[in-house]
Amino acid sequence: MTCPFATYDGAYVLGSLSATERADYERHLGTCEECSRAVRELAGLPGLLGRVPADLLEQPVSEPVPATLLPRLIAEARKHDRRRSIRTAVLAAAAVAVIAGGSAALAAGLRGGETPEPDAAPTATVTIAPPTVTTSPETAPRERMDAVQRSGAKGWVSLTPVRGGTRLELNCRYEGQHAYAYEIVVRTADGREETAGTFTAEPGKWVPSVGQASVPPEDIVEVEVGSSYGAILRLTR
Amino acid sequence: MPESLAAAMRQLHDEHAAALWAFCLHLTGNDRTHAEDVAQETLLRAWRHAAVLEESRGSVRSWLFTVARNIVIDEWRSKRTRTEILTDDLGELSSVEDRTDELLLSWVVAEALTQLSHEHRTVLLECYYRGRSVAEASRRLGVPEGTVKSRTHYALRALKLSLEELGVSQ
Repeated sequence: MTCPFATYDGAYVLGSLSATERADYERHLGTCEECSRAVRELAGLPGLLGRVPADLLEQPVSEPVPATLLPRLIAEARKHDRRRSIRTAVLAAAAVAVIAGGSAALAAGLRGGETPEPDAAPTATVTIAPPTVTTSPETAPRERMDAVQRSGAKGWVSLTPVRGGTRLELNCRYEGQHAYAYEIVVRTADGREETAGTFTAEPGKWVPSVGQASVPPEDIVEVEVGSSYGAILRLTR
Repeated sequence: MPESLAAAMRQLHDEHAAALWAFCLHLTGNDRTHAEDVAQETLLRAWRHAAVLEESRGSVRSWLFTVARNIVIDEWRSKRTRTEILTDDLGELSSVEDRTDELLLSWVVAEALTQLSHEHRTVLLECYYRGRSVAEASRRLGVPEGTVKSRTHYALRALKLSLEELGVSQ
């Protein structure tokens, strides 16, 4: 039942059959549908094999992997992992803020339209009043920053004109699990951008910080607080 | 859990870094610094896409090679955008694309070959790469000619299967 030429297809497409066998096989192909199909199935393979230089097969890879690769990988992965923890924490905080935000609105309604304390966007945990940043008498009034993309962060900033630019006094809070470095970035109407300062936020605490920009307050159209993951607070003026 | 992170990275490194490194060296024309950056970014992406690593070993390799190749191409594209070099460089980019495409294909085929059994790989090495006839291969391998024929028959079928798993269609 089995065709006597059934295993010739491989050697045939590789060009390894002797001249006599090849002639016999080719004659046979004219009459055997099964063998013809087998050859068609394998016909593309020699071309692909030709893509591989023989030395790639004969010599195992000899070039050693640089010793620095693994330590670098671990360091990068840890960095990434920290960012991911922050992101998870921020999302969790956002969920809390959404729930709490509802009850805050309700509470405000019950008080008959009385304006809630500016910092009163509460969390489900104990609401801590923001500590007052010690400021000099001439400090400009503070402006409320908006949470970016449901980050759940809260913050205030004052932009006080000083010689050579603006002093930024910031007070902000986010619900996370890890301390993390944030940057205060200011943008001007003509598209300039400047890092006015950095600080480390502590989860669940109001953290005061001070920054300095080289442009006067009236030139600043936007103040943003963010990490390498992205912005969490923004003030657009 | 930093310890498990380090352990996961070490496992990924031990399993794939040697093959990926060799590929990256070819890809970057033996620029070791560049090759290391590409290898690092590739393995990081693999770690971030943990689901990829649950595939069979061969598919992981071909995924890694493809990612490394794309990183190099993306670098070229963004370099071109930054420097705003026009027509001349477009030709250069497409030649880089062609070259890296070829390289990717040849490495994926090589990877498919490494997945074959020793007998199958050896018979292809003799009959195709060294151009031996069935009779010569039979003498060199110490097996009957009928066995050489059936080995090439099964070796090419195994190769075809393995190439299909790696996403190479003919």
